[in-house]
Amino acid sequence: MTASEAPAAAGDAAVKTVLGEERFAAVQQAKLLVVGAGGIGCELLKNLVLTGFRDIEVVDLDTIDVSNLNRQFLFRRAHVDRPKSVVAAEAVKQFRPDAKILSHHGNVKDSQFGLEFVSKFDVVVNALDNLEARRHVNRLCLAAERPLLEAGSTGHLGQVTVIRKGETECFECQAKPSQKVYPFCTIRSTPEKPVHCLTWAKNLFDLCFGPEDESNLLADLAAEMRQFQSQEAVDGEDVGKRIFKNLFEDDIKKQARLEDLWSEARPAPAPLGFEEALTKAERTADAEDKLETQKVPSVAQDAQGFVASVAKMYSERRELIGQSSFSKDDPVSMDFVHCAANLRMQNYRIARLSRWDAQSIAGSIIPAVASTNAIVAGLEVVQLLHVLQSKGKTMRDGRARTVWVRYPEPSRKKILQPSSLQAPNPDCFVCGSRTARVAVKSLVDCKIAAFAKGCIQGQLGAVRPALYANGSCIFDPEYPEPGPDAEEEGLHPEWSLTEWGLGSGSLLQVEDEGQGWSINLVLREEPDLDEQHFPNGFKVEAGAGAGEEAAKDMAEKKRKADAEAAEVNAAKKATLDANTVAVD
Amino acid sequence: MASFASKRLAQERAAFKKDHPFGFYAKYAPNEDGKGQNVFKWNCGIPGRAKGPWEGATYALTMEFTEDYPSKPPKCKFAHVHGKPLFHPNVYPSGTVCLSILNEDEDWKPAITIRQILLGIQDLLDNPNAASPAQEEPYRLFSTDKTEYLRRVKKQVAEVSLGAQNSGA
Repeated sequence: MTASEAPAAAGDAAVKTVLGEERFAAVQQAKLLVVGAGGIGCELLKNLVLTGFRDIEVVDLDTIDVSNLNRQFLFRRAHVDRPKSVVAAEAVKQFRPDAKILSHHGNVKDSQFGLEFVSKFDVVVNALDNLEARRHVNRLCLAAERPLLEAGSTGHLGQVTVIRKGETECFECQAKPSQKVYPFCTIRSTPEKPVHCLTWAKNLFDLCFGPEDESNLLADLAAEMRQFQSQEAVDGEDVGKRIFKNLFEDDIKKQARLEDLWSEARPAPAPLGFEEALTKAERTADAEDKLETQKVPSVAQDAQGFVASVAKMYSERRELIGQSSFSKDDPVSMDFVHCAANLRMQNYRIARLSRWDAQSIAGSIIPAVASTNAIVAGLEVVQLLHVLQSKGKTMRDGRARTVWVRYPEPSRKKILQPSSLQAPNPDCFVCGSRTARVAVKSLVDCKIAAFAKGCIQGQLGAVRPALYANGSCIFDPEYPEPGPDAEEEGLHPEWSLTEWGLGSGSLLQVEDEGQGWSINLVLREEPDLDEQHFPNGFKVEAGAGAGEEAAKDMAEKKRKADAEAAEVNAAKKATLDANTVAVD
Repeated sequence: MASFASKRLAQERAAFKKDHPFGFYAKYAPNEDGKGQNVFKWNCGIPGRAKGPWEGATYALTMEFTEDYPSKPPKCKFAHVHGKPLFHPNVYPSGTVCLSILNEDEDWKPAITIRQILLGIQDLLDNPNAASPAQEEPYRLFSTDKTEYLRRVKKQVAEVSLGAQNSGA
């Protein structure tokens, strides 16, 4: 035994005592995939190796940034700009040199991390920070039928849960609250809250100093702004004052004239001239012990601050005009946005904000808390142990739980709140829909139209199947033949599955437009597919009976429809007969 | 596999194909690289209602959806006419339509179908909402000089029917 192995081995003995022989053996044999090596991932990897796990692969697409160092403790200043997955793997290997830790610097959504890759593992453990990647891993794990530990944190809140196909809710069984977007009219004409004015001001900054962007909420003001900005011998202060007059005085006057818009409950906005603004120097009374940035400035300060920030763009950053974008951490753009938003709030009689509040709203800042991440990563390992022990039982009958992490309040002293795992939502669009597996002899040779006709129509019994992959529609039954019409619509029935970017493990959604029925397909390439039995070059392997069930369902529907039709016919006939009798 | 949003859009597409009001169209926009169609962006056409001032042309409109659809409404934007915004009191200079059923904070409901949105906008063409002005000139003429307003609408009908509407905004 070498010196470096000694601590791990000593730790093993302790862990074995705690876990017991059987559980410890399961830990040592488990093959894990860790997705993400950031705030939660660093803690998680450390916990895993110290618990005795020794066969781990980790995927992360990011490189280390200085700002990560305050909470991602496996990283040091010297690691900045290196891949997170690689450095994290190196770091935890030092805790346990005998562990096999393989790192992948890449996006988990890449095809190399498809179904076949995920199927190698016993359990997948998420340590992600965004919804998109979580959704993707959720679907992969459902398709591969691997248990998934899902975790997340925002500020002092966190949660850990266990997902397993058919046994628990999947990540998408419940709709997630999404970030609020404000209606266009509110931002443009009728702001009611500070955040509406801040959104307007952020768009204004990008409009004045950023690249042309058609999706900017104020895009139609671009020509006007350019006019102010392209005066000869541009003097930044002058530009600032022109923009000021245009937006906070003239435009507001126009708005105020739209009488139908305003009422007692919603009074018309008040225009504000620059000179007039300078006379409003009084401050609201703020507590003495506040920092200057935590106090609300006077209107005069906002007006001066606005013009000064524009002037600064011209004196200090002239070469960046046309390519800047708002960042809450850039003092000049933050000054601009804070002052512009406050002036608009003044127009619309909304209480103005301190720079501090403006920055936290404009940047939607929720601080990452290292201790929440540590708690969450610890809970993930506990739940992982429950999952490994659940052999023979379903997840919901075992000891695994969803655990919420909450900030302790006086009325509620507990930080952790466990709750039992929920059954899958039968209406879930992701795990509730049926999934079939299809083996294809050659993805390069199989044309999409032939696949739709032979496999989806011929074997799954669809009537008018449309095919979707990666958020795009790639086959429309209206265009079964190649031609200029199809091409104009972005469709190419003559392309092979490979040309459409589909590989082994790719997921395909089928929507039967004929009968409003749908199924998900997982593709697999199998060069050895027996040509005698499967002359078309594909074989439907009903994953968990999905295909048969689908077919049965189709047959059932058809039978019902036929029966109904027969009934209607019979009824018609009866009526006819009755009529005939009557005539007779 | 489908997200909630793309699944619903696929169903909307199938439903629209099966049954849609006369003269309307709504289909996925081709992806910019020509490979497949963007489920989240639709090219639509709304005909002016028969016997109304907008009769005689079909107005091109794009709908943009997000992953938050259907909890959030799509953004509906009319194509410009001769490089100018569609002349209508409730259409912003960018082409964006201001209509209560398209506003999450007002009358949008996830159950509203694409067919209903298009019919709602068709109705808005004939019946502008004076309480939410979005474009100054049409709003002013609509509220002060109906004759001139209608003359301008008619002029636009002729232009659009001759193919003056382009998708560039």
